[in-house]
Amino acid sequence: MQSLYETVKEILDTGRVGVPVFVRCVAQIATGSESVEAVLARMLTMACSWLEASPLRVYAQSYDSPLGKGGWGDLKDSSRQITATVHYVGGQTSIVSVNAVPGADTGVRSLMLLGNKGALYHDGEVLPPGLDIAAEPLPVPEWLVDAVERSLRASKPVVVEEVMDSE
Amino acid sequence: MLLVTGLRTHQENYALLFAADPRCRLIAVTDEPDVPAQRADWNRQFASEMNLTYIPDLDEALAREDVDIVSVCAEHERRGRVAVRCAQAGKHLYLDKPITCSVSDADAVVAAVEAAGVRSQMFSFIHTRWAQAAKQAVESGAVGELVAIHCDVMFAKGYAGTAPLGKPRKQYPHPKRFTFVASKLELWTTGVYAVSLIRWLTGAEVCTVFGVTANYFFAEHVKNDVEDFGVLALGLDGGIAATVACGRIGWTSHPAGGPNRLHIIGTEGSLAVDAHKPRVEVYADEPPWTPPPVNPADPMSFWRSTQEEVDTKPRESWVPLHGKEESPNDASRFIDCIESGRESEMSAKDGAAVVEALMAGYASAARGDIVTLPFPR
Repeated sequence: MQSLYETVKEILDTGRVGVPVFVRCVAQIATGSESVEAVLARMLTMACSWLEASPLRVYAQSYDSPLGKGGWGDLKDSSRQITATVHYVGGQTSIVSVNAVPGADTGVRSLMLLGNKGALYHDGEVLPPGLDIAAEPLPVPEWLVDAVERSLRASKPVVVEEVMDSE
Repeated sequence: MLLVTGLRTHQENYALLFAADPRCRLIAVTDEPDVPAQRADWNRQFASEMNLTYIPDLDEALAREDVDIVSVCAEHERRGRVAVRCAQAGKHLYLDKPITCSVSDADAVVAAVEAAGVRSQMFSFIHTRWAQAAKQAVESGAVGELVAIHCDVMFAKGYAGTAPLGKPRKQYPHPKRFTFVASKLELWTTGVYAVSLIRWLTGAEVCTVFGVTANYFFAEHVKNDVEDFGVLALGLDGGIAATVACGRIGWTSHPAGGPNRLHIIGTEGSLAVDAHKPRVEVYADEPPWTPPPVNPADPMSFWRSTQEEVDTKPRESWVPLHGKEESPNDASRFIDCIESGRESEMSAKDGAAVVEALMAGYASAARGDIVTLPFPR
């Protein structure tokens, strides 16, 4: 059985929906099962792969973000949701949101991917564990995690090139 | 009631909403006396189709004592001044969306409405079944305290795939022009639904805006240098994060009219509300739905009249469980407000707040940074 990531990738490769231009993905995890930011980074990595694009700007929003008070460690413990809005070098965009809810089933709740000549939708089903991600997990680039963290700290968008230059 | 403007505007729809309410009697179509000849022709034609008279002088029409309400659908560029004039004449205002094309014009409409003591309402999605369901769920505490909300409002119309891709759109801080035959500013005209829904559902004001505009689908939008797609990330009062994805995505990108949905995330759970759910899906031995031929008079199928000219068929694979019954009538809810003397839940003041957020979205898209409200006048 193929994962959601691989199935979407395979459809995109056929060219049926044209060139992918936008991804909106909402995922949910059970509180305490995994960190919100780890899942977010994985989803963003998948979005980059589907769009075949490099982020230009990343704007991350967290509910009542504790960053600036206690730092990244506190965020991992207390944050319930992070939403990242990404603008890519080629003009593409994505919105990826991950929230942690007590006792929730973990997985992608809704995915919409727009191509310039069609669209993909995945909605409403809670997939078995692991099926919403790649069989071989994609490597999450450190600069992407860093960009999300910096945006949360600054409460504003960050330019990814500047993040990479500073590493 | 009076109808300002006729064909090739949303008046084609709004007039029918008012006509369907037995408490309402349509009096005439009217407009400013100096409108272009084509606009006047469309107004006359609409008046004729509706069996109404056309009064070509707005002030003369407003002087009539048998007029209580005016539905204002003047083109974006002159909508604000027409609305102000109608309010100053003591008429209740039903406003096309967005209510104006500048923040200062929106302020002027709000001031005129308040000074005249009239009621106002901007057309929106808030009276649709799915929006009402979302509101009830939020107010019931089903998801706990609101944490985030995501709203998609897209129209599956137009023949997509003609826009050149590969680089970010260069956005102007303030749109230069709003009215075209073959394109609309899609962040403006579809984003208004999403931002108004988010404010209404959360009861929270927009504090910060990050926006991106794009040209993904249509050469027509590129030619007119306006976006066909937009994304907003909003910071609301109380720390709620909200996002909007909106635009026109092409006839074949959705089995119905386009994605219209909300993801509402709270401290105790999350909820997805979709305009196309619950539904029954029908697949049968019948020809598949196909898009209509392009009508050169309206290539993007903005208007009911021009869609009828090319015999646009309804998409019937998805049948909502409430059947073909129309959604609750937005105009009737406005008349309810007038009769009961209460403010609409989508008044001119709400419309002005939405204009401000959308304008901040354009400024943000031009700057590549967040914009903090209030937006400069």
